[in-house]
Amino acid sequence: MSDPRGPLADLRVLDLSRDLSGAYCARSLAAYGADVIHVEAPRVGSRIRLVAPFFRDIPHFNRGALHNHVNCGKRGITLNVESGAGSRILRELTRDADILIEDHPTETLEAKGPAYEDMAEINPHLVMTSLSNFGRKGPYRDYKASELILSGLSGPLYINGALDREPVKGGGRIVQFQAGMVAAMLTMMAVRSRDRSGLGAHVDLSTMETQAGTADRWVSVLAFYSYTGAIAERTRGVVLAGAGVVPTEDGYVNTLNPTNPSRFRKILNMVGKPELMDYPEFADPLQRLAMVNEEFLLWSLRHSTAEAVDEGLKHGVMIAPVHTHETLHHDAHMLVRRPWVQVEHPEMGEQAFPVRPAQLSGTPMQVSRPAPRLGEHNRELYCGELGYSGADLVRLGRMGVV
Amino acid sequence: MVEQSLPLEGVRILSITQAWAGPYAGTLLADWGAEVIQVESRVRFPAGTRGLSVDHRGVVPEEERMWSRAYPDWDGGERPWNRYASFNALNRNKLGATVDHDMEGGRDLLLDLVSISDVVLENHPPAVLDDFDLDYSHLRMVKPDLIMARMPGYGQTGPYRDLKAWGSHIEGFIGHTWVRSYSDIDPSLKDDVYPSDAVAGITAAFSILIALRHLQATGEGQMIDAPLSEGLIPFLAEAFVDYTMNGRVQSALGNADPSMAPHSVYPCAGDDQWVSITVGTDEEWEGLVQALGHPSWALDPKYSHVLGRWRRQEEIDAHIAEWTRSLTSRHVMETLQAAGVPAGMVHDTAQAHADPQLEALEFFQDVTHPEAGTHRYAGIIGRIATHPNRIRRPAPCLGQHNEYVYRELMGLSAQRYRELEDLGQIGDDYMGASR
Repeated sequence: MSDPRGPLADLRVLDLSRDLSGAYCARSLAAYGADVIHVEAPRVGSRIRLVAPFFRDIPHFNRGALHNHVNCGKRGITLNVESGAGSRILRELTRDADILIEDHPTETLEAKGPAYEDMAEINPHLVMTSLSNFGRKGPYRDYKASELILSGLSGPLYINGALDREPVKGGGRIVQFQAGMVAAMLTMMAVRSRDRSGLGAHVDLSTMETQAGTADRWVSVLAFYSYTGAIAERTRGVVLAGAGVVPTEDGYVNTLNPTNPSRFRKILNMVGKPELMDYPEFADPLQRLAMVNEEFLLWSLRHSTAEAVDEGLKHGVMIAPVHTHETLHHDAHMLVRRPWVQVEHPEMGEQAFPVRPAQLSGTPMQVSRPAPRLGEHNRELYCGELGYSGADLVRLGRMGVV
Repeated sequence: MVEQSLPLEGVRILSITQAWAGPYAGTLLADWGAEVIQVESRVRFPAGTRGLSVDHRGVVPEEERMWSRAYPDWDGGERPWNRYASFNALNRNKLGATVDHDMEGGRDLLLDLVSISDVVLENHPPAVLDDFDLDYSHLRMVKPDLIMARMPGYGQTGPYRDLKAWGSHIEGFIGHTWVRSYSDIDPSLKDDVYPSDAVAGITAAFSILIALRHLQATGEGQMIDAPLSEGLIPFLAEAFVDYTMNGRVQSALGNADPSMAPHSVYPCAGDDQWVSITVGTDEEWEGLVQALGHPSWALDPKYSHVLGRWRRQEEIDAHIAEWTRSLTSRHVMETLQAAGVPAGMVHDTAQAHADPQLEALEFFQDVTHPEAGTHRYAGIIGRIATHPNRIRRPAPCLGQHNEYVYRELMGLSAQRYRELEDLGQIGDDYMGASR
């Protein structure tokens, strides 16, 4: 039978993540109805709470953009899982959980954090997902990492940028988000296995593998090396028609197009120069490319970005607007698609978060609550569900456990 | 610990996909046990998917040798579409069959394939299927509980619905081009990158798993709209929300970070070799100063706090580059990590293949392909201890599993199979036309 809260409504998730990937993994499950409890260190909370930008640029651990984006839809409690009493409470919570997501560094995990063997003993049905930067063994196991380091040591950073300059990273933290999305996918693989066998499983994933195996060209260029012994380099220059990012009257468009004759014809029809196809120079592939790209540039400089995109649609030419995050919000297509949700936050009012990467017709994503304030659901969980008294909670607070 | 069968065993997926995003979604599901049948046309050569051209037979001329033209030892052979590095890397663990819904009998044949599948996965502009009445509402008629995942550039609704796009266009549309790459160049000089392909693929695979669980609980299928454009939008939330919350329009930072310095990529000894170093805390800065041997420039008290370092990062970067320039990227990484400073080689593909950490994770795997030979490929991502997992089969040759799919799975008679061969639907090569 269908549960209106979503297809994962029967699953309770303990989200012990301290960093972005684990938090995003858990949020992806929350959006389909899972009851996700974000377990954070008392007083300081998750590191993500400290990441700028903040609401009205005033740093506050409940008001960060990233924190609210990756933790909306979750409940939140505080617990020092590395303390004796805290680890006992974690075991109680684990008994009733279906999924546990954690990203504790391996050495801590062996000493004090949740080890899968212990958790599986308490709850043999548990799916536990462990995330790490470089894996749970090997020479880089304890290496420090960052978005830039992960991108270079594991993924396609080397081939991004210009050949005569240094490799240059992608925007924001897309590498860490991607690891979180892969973690969510693998967690669902383990959930499917559990749904069939009743047995739990341990998912062990490193960000390094998610980049080393990414289809962002990298698996292709890794095979390129296996097949030819040649090393892929950064871009040397324009090789396709239209020439990539091109200025317009009021901005930029991306006009990368294949170099086949039918596409050339479409481009030249669009820019009003079909006669160029009859010029003798057009027979030469390099001259042809230069001619088409030049005509395109002359044309695009006379059109607004929106006009150029309309013309591309009409003529079957690949053109896309190059948006800032401001123009993106005024784009006609985005205003129809609206891949975000409006969430009412007690301290910030209504805010939009772009949480929806896909539309599922039968089980749409839902965000039922804003990101929790630090320890917001302590009383609800500890007293309401685990049966601690108010006095117990005060005592645990004094001990630094909660 | 009891070893179990892979979680998606018993799930059949019909993959009508091209390029990167669609095939990647299918591969992630095939890796974990789904029977993914990649169906391809013998008439329309999928440029960019099985090579740049059907005519690329034999040895690639010296001046055309680039990664998008990669065949074993630069030799396309007689059937280059089966020897294309990128396709073979992206489509392991799948089966291959041929069908063209635009040819005689093709639509019915495709519907027969749909009727024996649990999931249909495709990443074409909507019209490619819609124009032949092969949209979800029609496919459901032959398979009422079907899950269909569609991955066009911009989605099944909205004014850009029919606008064709590659990953590079999408990066521009969603604001990624604007916030990435060097901070000191005009956007028109930026190169093209393709993370949206990978991310849309992962998004579709995850969404299909959600839909399969719903199917299992309710018996209901559904339609998934997972456009290339929307997978990556949540990943750029900081820039997105900074605009909606604060009205700020973020721009490119290059390799810099808003709250860390130094934070960049530095040149190392050798041809085009680089190391990244990212200092987030004062302790890490002290570790760096120590590893550099306490040079006098680094002892300037202005550098002792992150704000001072951030304001003077160009001077600091110049000093660090002086030091790294004569050292190998591995030496810099190991020295700095030993001093507690986050640092990492910027791997080229040879270094990635030789990386000891990926070795320890047993990441790469040798796979033998019937027409391309034995090569080393990126392997399965992640591990589930109860489900040991290695690449089980190479990427399919064009039409390689036609017999299995049409005779065994669909139960066609030998006569009908021959008729479909005569019609050109079933075969293992391209029928002249190169698009």
